[in-house]
Order: sequence, then structure tokens, then C-alpha cells
Amino acid sequence: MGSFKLTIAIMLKLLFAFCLSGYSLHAIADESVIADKSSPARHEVTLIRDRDYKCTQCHKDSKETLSGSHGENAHESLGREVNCTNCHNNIGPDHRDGAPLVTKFSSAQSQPGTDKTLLSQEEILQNNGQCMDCHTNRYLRSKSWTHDVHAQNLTCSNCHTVHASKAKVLSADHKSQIKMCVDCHSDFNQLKEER
Amino acid sequence: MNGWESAFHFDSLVWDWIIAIYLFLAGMSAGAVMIAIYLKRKVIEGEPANNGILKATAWLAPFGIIAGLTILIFHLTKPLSFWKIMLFYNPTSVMSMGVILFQVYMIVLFVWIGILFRNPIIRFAEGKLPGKLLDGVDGLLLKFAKAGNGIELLLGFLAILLAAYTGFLLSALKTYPMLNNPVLPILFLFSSLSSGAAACLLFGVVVFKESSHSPSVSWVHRFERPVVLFELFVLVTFFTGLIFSGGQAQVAAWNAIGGGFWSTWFWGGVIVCGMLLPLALNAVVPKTVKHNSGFILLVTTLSLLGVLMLRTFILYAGQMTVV
Amino acid sequence: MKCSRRRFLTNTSALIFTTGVAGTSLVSTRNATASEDNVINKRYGMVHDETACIGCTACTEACREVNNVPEGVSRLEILRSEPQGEYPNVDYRFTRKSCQHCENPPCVYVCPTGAAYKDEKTGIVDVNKSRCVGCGYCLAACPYQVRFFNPVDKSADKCNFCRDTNLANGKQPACVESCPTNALVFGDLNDPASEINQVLESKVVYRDKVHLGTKPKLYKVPHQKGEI
Repeated sequence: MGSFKLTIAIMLKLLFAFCLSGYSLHAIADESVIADKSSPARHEVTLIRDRDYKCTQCHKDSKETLSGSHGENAHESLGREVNCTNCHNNIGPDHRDGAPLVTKFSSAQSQPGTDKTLLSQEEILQNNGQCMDCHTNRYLRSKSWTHDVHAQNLTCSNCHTVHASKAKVLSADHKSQIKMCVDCHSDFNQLKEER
Repeated sequence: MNGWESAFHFDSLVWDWIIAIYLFLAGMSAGAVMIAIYLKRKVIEGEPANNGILKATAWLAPFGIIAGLTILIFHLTKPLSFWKIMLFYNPTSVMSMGVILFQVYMIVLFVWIGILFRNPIIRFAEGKLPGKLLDGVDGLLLKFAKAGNGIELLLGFLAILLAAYTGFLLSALKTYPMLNNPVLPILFLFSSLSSGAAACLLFGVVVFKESSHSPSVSWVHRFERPVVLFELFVLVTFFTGLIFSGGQAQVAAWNAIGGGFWSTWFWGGVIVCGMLLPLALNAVVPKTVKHNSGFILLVTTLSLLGVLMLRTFILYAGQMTVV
Repeated sequence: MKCSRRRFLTNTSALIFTTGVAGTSLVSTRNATASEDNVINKRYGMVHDETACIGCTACTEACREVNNVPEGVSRLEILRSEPQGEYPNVDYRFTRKSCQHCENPPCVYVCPTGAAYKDEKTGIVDVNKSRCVGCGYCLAACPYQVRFFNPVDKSADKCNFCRDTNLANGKQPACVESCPTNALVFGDLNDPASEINQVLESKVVYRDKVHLGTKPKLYKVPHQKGEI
């Protein structure tokens, strides 16, 4: 009779001890993970998922402004993110010295204008080819006939800004859109007449 | 029903179904008057005021004109300015000359009706209007009656002009080659006669209980056949002329009758139901049925519908093709 | 009084002589005074150069602003053709659709109240809005289909060469002023020195639906590609 009582007491104590040790082990196990990371012995290489990390260190706003125009929609249709080097390719080693090789997208036209870069029609067509890899000619044409006549006469950035959400012509109301036509055409027409 | 939508709404449409109804009413009024005058002068036996067809005309002709002009006033974009069209005129405008014609026609029509139905009118108004006014009207009507023959001939002439006017109104439009042709006034004159005949026959027999064996009813019946046949011939001339003209006139003709909503409307409604069926029924049906007022009701209604459908067709299909 | 033949002849010839001389002198004086007053009417017309037009519709918007044309309707339209050529050499042809200010205007002939009128001094076809009742006859009669009902004042409306707006202030019509490529030229066809006559003499032009006999005054310089 006495041994029965003793057995139970020992078993309960053992149970209590097991629980306590189990819980302690559990607690120590977690701590050890955290403890491991706090003091690296040497430099560890980890995968950076952000391809544009290097660019955005200096060009801080560009990724955010890009997401306005080439954000979710582009991600869906492409199946991947649009990165800086997708368009601004050819970075080259002189990047910090004015970056002569990197692809830039300035406004240029095929007729001489005031304060406007002049390029030949072939060059403009080539430049626009960058955008038109994704934005195909048929799609552009269905959106607006103005793409047809400007395909080799204007670079896309004259009327569209990529690093902004619906900027320039896409956000302008009808009257402002017409003003864009009038401004450019009256400018180079006047220069043509003066010559 | 997309077919209906695009048939009644298209870019080059200016005048819509309200004008078609007005053309129908004006034509019917003029046609009924022409027939009534002929009946009175050549066919009727006995007192004209007792004749059901003349009674019908006495109601139909003014109703047609007044109702037609009223809906026209409301069709204006500035209805309250309608008086300007009655006051100001332009001799080169068919519409302006038509408005003057309308005003004269209405006056002469009321005078003529007054002369014809002087007794029934005075009897009806006795007790309801002051005696002096009544005597004055009576005296006036008697005075007019002295010139009755002249007034009647004038009215007949004005009715012919009015029936043709509806055609001239549309044929002045250079914009629409199907309308801008010389056959249209002739077509409208004859369709006025046929709609006038159908209308006064319908109301004369059904409402005013004119016996279907009376000489006037027989005459109108007999008169309808050559009118409808001639109308068919005019339609053939009309479309053949357009097709032979080539260019946009030919395009307009084929657009109208070569297929589509208006083509079905024309062949099925205007030609078959409005012209061929009444002709066939009148030719084939035995004499006993012919004098049945139900039969007369059917045939005249078909005729009237046919004319309304013709005017609607000419108006809409005509405006489909621009020069 | 004895009426001998001699007497008759003498009197008649005296009569003819006096009335004839008086009459012709009166007529010639009137002519002389007319030319002295220099009343040579103007005949306004316009040229739309389709080789210069870029289809920007700045003219339509300028007209809307200057003449208070409500949205939904327009006094002038620029119509775009089908694309001519293949990518990347695609071109479009733009034509102007607006009142031709005909010398033989069908709209004036058909107006029942005389609201549609041609101002003989300028050759401009215009609408007297208070006289117009809105019957629509002029809308149907115009073969160029340039008339419409103004939804605000319910009157028939169309281009009037800015007669009561810009022209009245000594300016060129709003469309002409607004064009970035100077595709529109406006002027007096009766003035041999005017710019419009110089354009008409130096360029090949065409007009719409001339065979109708309307004698339109809106000339167009045809686009180089495609059929006229």
C-alpha cells in the first residue's frame, strides 16, 4: 500500500521533470537560432531579390515612379517585374562619368525645332523599337491614329513619360491634348517658314 | 431589335415619322376633298348634305389638315414661334408657299362645308348660340352659296395643289437623290387620291351609314382600281428612273428596295398589303361580300395603312442616301 | 386741235428724246454715284490646305470657344480618311466639313421665314436666330450636311465665318487663327490682291459637290496621296 503511493508520487514528479526539461529544451532551441545570427564569424553571401538595388541606391525615386506606368499591369502580362536594365541597357564602366553608353530616352524629332534634339527618321524608328518590343504597332494603332504618323518622326518620350503615372498625353484632357499638337507643329512649321 | 434601331436612326436623317404622319394626313385631306367634289358634281343623287361620303369628308378633311398642322407645330424646335411661319414668307421656299396654300385652302374648305351643310349646321347651333350671330352666319353662308360653283372649283384646284405640294416639298431637297426627282409629286398626288378615297369610303360607310349600294360608294370603289394601278405604274417609273440615272440616285434606289428593313417594309407593307391585296380582294370576292361593311372596313384600312407606310418609306429610305 | 401726221411725229420724237435722255442720264448718274461710293461687295471664301492639315482639330475647339458652340454639336468637323500606306510610312488625309457659304445656297432658298439669308455685302450665309422657327428644312436642304440645331437656343446653326464674333472685331475667323500649320486661309475673293486669291492662283484646288450648282466658296488643296 505504501509503495503504491510512492510510485505515483515518483511518476508525477518525473512527469513534471520531463515537461520542464522539454519546455526548456524548446526554449533553448529557439534562443540558439537567434543567438547564432547575432555574431557572424565571416561575410556571408545572401541572395538579393531586388535586381534594381544598385540603380536605386542613387536613382532613388525611379523604381517608385516606374510602378505608376509599368507596375502591376506589366508584371501580369510579362510574368516578371520590369527592371531598370530592361530599357536602360548598355550601362558600361563609365556609368559614373556621364554614362555615355547607357540607353537614354530623350525627346527627339525628325524636323528641326526650338530646343529639340534632331534625329533622322531611321534613328527615331530604332529608338522607338525599344518600347515597341512590348507595345506592338498594331496595339498602338488601335489606341490612337497619332502613333501611325509619328512612328518615325517622334520618339515616344515626347508625349509619354514612363517614370510617372499616366503623365503627359495619357492624363491630359481633350483640349490639352490638342494643345500638345499645336505647340510642336506651330514651332517647327514656323522655323520651316523662316528658312 | 437592331434592325429597327438603325432603320429609324441614322446620321443623314433630318425629318422623322412625325413628318410622315403629317404628309399622310395632309394628303388624305386633299384626296378626300377632290373625291367629294367630284361626287357632288357628277355622281350624287339627291341632297348632298345627306350623303354619307360627303358627311365623312366634311369631318375628315378639316381634321386631317388641322391635326397634321398641329403635330407639325409641335415638331418645330421652337413651337411657340410657329406664327412666324404664317407671317413671314419666302417665295423660293416650297414650304413657305405651302403654308400660304394651307391657309387659303382651310378658309375655302370651311366656306365650302358651310355652304353645303348650311341647314344642318344652323339647325344644330339653334339655341346654343345667340340668335343674332346665327342669323349673321346664315346670311353670310347664303351669300357664299351664290358663288358656290366658283368656290367649289377653287377648292378642287387647291386640293390638287395641296396633294402635289407634299411631293414638291420633298423633291426640292438636292441632298437626297431619291427625293430630288420630278416623279415624286405625281406619286404623292395619286397616293393622296387613293388615301382620300379609302378614308371617305371607310368613314362614309361605317360611321355615316351610307348604303354600300349607293351610286357614290360604287363610284368610289370603281375609282380606286385605276388609281392604285396608276400608282403602281408611277412607282415603277420612280424607281426605274432612279436606277437609270446612275450615280448616287441608283445607289439610293437599291439601298431602298434592294434589301434590308425598308425594303421589306416597302414590298410587304406598301405593295402587297397596301395595294395588291385590296386590288385582289376587290376583284376576287363575290358581290355580296363586297357590300358588307366589314369587308369595306378591311379593304379601306389596308389601303390607308399602305399609304401611310408609303409616305414613311419614302421619307426614311429617301433620307438614307446622300448625294 | 388738228392732229396732223407731222405734228404727231414731232411730238412723239420730242417725248422720246426727253424721256430717253433723262432716263439714261438718271441711270448713268446712279451708276456713277455707285462707283464713287466704292460699293464693291466682298465675297468671303476660305481655303483649307489638306497637305498642311495635321488633323489636330484645334480649329474645331477654337470655334467652339469663340462662338459658344455647345458640346455634342459642332460648326466644323475634320474628317479623317483611312490610313494610306504601310507602317512606318502611314499617312492620313484630313478634310474639313463646314459651311461652304455657297453663292447659290439651297438653304436660303428653302427657308420658309427667311431666317436663312445671304449677306450680299460679304457673301456670308448666316441664320437670323430670332426668325428661325426650327422646321429643319434647311438642315435637310444642305447637300453638305453642315447645319444642325443648337441645343441651347433651339435655332438652326452653322459656321458663319465668325461674322458676329471675330470678324466683327477685325480678326480672322477663330479656326484660321488657331491653326498651327496655317492650313486655313480666309479672305475676299473679289479682292485680286488678297492672300486667298494668291493661294488659289498658285495651287491646285477643288470644291465639294460642284455639280449641284451651289457654287461653294470653301476651296480645298488636295492631299497628295490617294484620289480626290
